[in-house]
Amino acid sequence: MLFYLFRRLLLAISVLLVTVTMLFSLVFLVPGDPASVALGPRATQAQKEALRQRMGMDQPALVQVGRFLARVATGDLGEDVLTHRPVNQLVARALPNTLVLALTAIGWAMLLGIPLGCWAALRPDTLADRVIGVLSTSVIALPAFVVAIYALLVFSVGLKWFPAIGAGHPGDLGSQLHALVLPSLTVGLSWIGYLARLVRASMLEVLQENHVRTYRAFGLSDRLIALHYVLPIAIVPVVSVLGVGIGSLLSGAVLTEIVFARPGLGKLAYDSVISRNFPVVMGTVVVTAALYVLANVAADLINARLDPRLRQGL
Amino acid sequence: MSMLLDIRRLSVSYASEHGPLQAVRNIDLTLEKGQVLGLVGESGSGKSTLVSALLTLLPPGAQASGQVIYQGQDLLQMSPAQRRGLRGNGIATVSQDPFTALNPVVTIGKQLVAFQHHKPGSKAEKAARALAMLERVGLSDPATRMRQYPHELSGGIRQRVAIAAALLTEPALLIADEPTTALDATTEMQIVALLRESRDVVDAAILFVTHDLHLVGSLCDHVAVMYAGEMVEAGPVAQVFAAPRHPYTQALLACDPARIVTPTRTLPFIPGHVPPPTAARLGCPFQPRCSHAFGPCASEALPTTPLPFGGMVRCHKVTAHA
Repeated sequence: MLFYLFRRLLLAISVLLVTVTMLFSLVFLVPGDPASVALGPRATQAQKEALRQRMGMDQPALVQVGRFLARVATGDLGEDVLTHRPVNQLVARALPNTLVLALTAIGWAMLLGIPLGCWAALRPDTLADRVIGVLSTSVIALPAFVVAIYALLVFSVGLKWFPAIGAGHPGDLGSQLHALVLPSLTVGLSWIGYLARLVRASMLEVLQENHVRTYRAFGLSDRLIALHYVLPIAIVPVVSVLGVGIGSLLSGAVLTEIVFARPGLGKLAYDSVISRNFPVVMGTVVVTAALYVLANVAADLINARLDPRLRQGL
Repeated sequence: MSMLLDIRRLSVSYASEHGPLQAVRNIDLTLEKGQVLGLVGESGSGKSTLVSALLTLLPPGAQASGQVIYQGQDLLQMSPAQRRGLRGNGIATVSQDPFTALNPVVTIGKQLVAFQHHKPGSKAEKAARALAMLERVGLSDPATRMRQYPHELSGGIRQRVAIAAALLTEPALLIADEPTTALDATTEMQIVALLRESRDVVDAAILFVTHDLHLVGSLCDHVAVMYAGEMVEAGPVAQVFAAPRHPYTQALLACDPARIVTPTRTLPFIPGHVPPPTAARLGCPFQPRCSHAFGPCASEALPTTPLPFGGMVRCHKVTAHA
């Protein structure tokens, strides 16, 4: 277990190193620097130089990366160049919105995708199975931003069932949940299809295994066997995929937050990229990378709980 | 002794891309209460299909005809619910591969409780029965075993657990489907001994499926020999082993290393292959490999010759000499 945690910590550090390095290279490639953005178009060259120096941007790239990582290690993500507020604070305010969005999306995917996949696996190659298959593949193929715009047009603008923008009024749980429905379904929709396909394939594989025949030979009902003795095994690869997929789920959340103007990590990252507010961009990326590593750890722990054979690997 | 199982003219065929495949052809077989019957045959002889039919677990595409009468009821005519009511409740099985036969993510104890679902009683009572049964099948520290997962146990111990599971259902018919094939030789003899002892635990008839005649000799009182989907010879073990009538049975016994009298460098074997299970067949299936084959063997349907003590043989040569 200790060795496992150590390995995961190493992975976390490498993921952060790679993402931060790639991001720094991008910062140098993208036209427009934070100093000119912060000071506006009428700033003098001397003023810009002074700010650059204050932000450490006159240093070589490697030094900048090193300084940044050293600061991250102490838990400080830096300062917003425009408002001078700490990035920690901005991220801390945005993070819950994104987490709630991502977790609700996963919730939808599990709530609908797993039962659909099970149901299809128990009647393979029937009409119902094929219909589920075609629908699943279709929603997987739909990009989140297309879904977001159609969801807005139909349910917010047309039917006026749900609010079009925002995350609801702070402190009012009802309005927050109300505002969460469309964005979370948008993010989760392709995952519903994805999980349905994955669960079906995984179930069909486990149903072929010998122990299923043992249970049938002892007269247990097919339904009980499927739910109690097959699904817990079939779900293991699904959990792993979800753990890795949280990355793409978060990127789906970025687009969705922009379309629905939800104040989350994605919206924060997007706005700060537009305004060349690099410390904030870096902050959101670091937190996203950390989330990704955490999700993988969570997936491993859940799987170890599900399958005793995997506990030996920890 | 009363009749427990009476199989009459059972045929099973599967649909395939190359037309129907007939895995079991016109089999007659009876099993009396308390009898231990060894069912012998090579791979492809139809043993597994016969076992599936007895367990009412034939795959959906299979077509079965004839009768499989168990305690007066025809298994082939039953509704799916009636069949499920008999599985693990009268008919029990120990499967071939102990390494995959148990659910890998559920503890032994929970599985042994689940297998008793036809029985009355609380979970605690069933767990207590399981614990006692694990002890009876010779496991050390049964309380620990109950908490363990299958992958933590060796093959021999898993097969003991599987036998305990079958015995817990107090079967009238225990089908042991090549229960020792996946085990090493020492464990094999222990499992056979355990099966022999299991008759003291429950009053079950045992159908012992194997390709090893040697094991049949040490466990069974009757033997039935299958070849290419057909029953070719059956009878009491003493009679069949002492005086096999069918050339195939003779050849099988000649291949048993324990029966070789003159020292030899090469083990004997039967040349040729089992014919494919394609539906159309003329004459005797063993004819191409048979050194005694003559005129009618290639063209005429197999006759059945009854033998003393309820035995029978299906061979043109035997009929011609009778």
